[in-house]
Amino acid sequence: MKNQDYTVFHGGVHPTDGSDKALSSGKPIVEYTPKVVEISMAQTGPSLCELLVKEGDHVDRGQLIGSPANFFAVKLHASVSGTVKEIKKVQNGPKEVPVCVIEADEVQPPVEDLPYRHQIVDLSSYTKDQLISLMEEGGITGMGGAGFPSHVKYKPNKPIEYVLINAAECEPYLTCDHRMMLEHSWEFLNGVNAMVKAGGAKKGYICMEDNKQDVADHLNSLLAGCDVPFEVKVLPTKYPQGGERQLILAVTGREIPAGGLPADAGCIVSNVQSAKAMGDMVFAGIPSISRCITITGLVKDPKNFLVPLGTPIRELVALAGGITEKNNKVILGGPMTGPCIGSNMTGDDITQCVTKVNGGLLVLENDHIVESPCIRCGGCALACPAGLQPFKIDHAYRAGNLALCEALHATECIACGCCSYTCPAKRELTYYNTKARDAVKAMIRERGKK
Amino acid sequence: MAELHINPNLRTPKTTQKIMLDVCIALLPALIYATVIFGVNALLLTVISVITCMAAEGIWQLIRKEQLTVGDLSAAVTGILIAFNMSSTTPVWVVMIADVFAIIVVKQVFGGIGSNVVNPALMGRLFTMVVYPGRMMSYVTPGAIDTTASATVLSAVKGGGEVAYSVWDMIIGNVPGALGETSALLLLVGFLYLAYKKEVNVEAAVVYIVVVGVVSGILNGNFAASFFGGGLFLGGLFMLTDYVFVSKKGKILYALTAAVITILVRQFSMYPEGVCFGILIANCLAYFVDKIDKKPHVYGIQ
Repeated sequence: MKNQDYTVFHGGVHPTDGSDKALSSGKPIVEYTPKVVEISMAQTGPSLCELLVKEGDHVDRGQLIGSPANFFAVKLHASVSGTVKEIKKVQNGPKEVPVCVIEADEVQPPVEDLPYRHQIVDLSSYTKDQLISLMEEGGITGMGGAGFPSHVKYKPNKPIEYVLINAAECEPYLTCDHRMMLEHSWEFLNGVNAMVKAGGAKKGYICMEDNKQDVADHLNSLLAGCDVPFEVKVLPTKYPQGGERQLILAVTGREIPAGGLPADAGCIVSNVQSAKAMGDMVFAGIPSISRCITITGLVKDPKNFLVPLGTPIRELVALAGGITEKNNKVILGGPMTGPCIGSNMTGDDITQCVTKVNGGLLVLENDHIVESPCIRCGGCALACPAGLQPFKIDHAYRAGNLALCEALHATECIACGCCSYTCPAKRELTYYNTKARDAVKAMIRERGKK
Repeated sequence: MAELHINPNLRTPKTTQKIMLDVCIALLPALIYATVIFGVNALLLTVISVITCMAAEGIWQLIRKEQLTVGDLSAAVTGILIAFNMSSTTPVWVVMIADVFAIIVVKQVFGGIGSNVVNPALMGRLFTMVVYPGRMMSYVTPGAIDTTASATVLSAVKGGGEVAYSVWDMIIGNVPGALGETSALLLLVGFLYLAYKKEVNVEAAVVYIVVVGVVSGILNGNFAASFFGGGLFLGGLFMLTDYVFVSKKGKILYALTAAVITILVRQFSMYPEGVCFGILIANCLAYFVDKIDKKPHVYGIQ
């Protein structure tokens, strides 16, 4: 056995055997520009931008069209050159959100071929602050799911030792980060380099699961002889290896204290595609206007697409040959944490458009889960990466005992889904544990007010 | 639940029903062997016991308008285990009373599967043992033409008498005893199947059986009888671990609790066999064992 240079986190599950990722991991990225893009002013759940253009305006690709209207938002740019055809209001959870519909020009401006696409570019002319302001200008945000604004993340009030690039892609089925690192390697590596400097870190790690050994080998061969402050770190494949807390533990052996942020462990964690966007922004002045997304599962020809923000996902499903199973459920993102957006869908009825945080669209066979009584097998406690006892929190929450939920540390649930995945009684443990977590947090806040 | 599916959208194929079915499969070799040595009556008792348990659970749930859980096969497992704990000559109605008591009073009254405090099968056996002692304590020698009662190996040892069976007979189960408990070897085969499927708690079973076997062997001077002469394998392999202990240490502590009580009963009570009491009392103490069991480290909590 080779020397283990990582920490094994408690619990976790192996939901699939790897055949899921094999559906699309060998498929080169297809670039696609739709005729019409629909860019939402809420790129992530809680974020909101104020729209800066009106109907009839002509916009250039990369032009600022939305300015942040709350803490979670980042600057938003036009993803194509074209004409603003319509400003739609779309229901997004409890609120209505403006969506900017842009009809793309027939001919899009070409993308310049610059040195950063072929080699590591010297960063010595940039200061840390310059890089962070470029982050802010470029609308760089977390592109792994939560979508936390990068320029905020890179200005913590604690010293940073490590910048971790989260390339674990531990969600089954998704391969967009995998392909991005293989096919846009230099843009990505330059972005990583810029992020390590922006964080003021002494060291950066590109952290991936060992199911991406091909990527690790490829990046290592590119980096051979380069003088960069970061390296590739290969970790065992285990869900949720890419959970921020688990990743930090695996790489540094440290834990984020309860209620803390990665910075409390001296770390910043950024996603692969955020790093690639950073590379594009710093070295080509292209803001975050595109991303790679995996269309996979029960579609005829699973694929990875590189598309402008606002691309209607139904067009990508059609390009992937359409949905092959009528009795389906459609999931936005990975199967463990991605929300289900409908069942028995045809593909044309998918209204969602690509945002900065969409890693994939997954079609699975529909199923019908019926909860049955807990048999106290203890599987959930063995699987919980936070070290909780989900079955006890579940019981306590359903019995209305929030004090017990608090004593059982329900606040530390990371909603990864391992407990529900592993439960033979099919109990909705993740659902009730996250409810318990939120209720206990609200209770603690109330207590603080008094 | 809403129409949209709740995360995560992947679930393990393992279900309660599949686990219980595996337990039934694991008990099958011992059942076949019991039929061979004790006759078709052993099989008949087991089948009737299974049907009675499932019917009792189903009727109870229908009357109480509860979620019907008969399909999870846990009642079938209880049915098999109750029959396994009886002598092959036990009257059918005694077995059925044990079944109904186990399912209704021990399991359903406490909330059904997963909520029972003690093992229903053992409690059912204990109940009939107390109410119908004469019917329960008559064990027959396998293959004997006349069905006169004979002493089990452990009661012979306890009485200070000669043990008329070879060690091999005890291992394969060619000795008097409850119909499913005699063959340590075949029970072990079934257990290994469950261990392969990762559906049992191997540490607890090993600790329990080894501690009871070795210590009572030292105390009574007959290791073979202490290990294989009674219900130690049936209890340790299939009835001990019903409860959740999150740490390995907790499971072992629980197994030790059961072992100590079993040894005390074997040594100091009128009963030659302490497995039933050992496990039932450990069941009751599980709550306290869980309290002193050190919980796994919660991420981020000092």
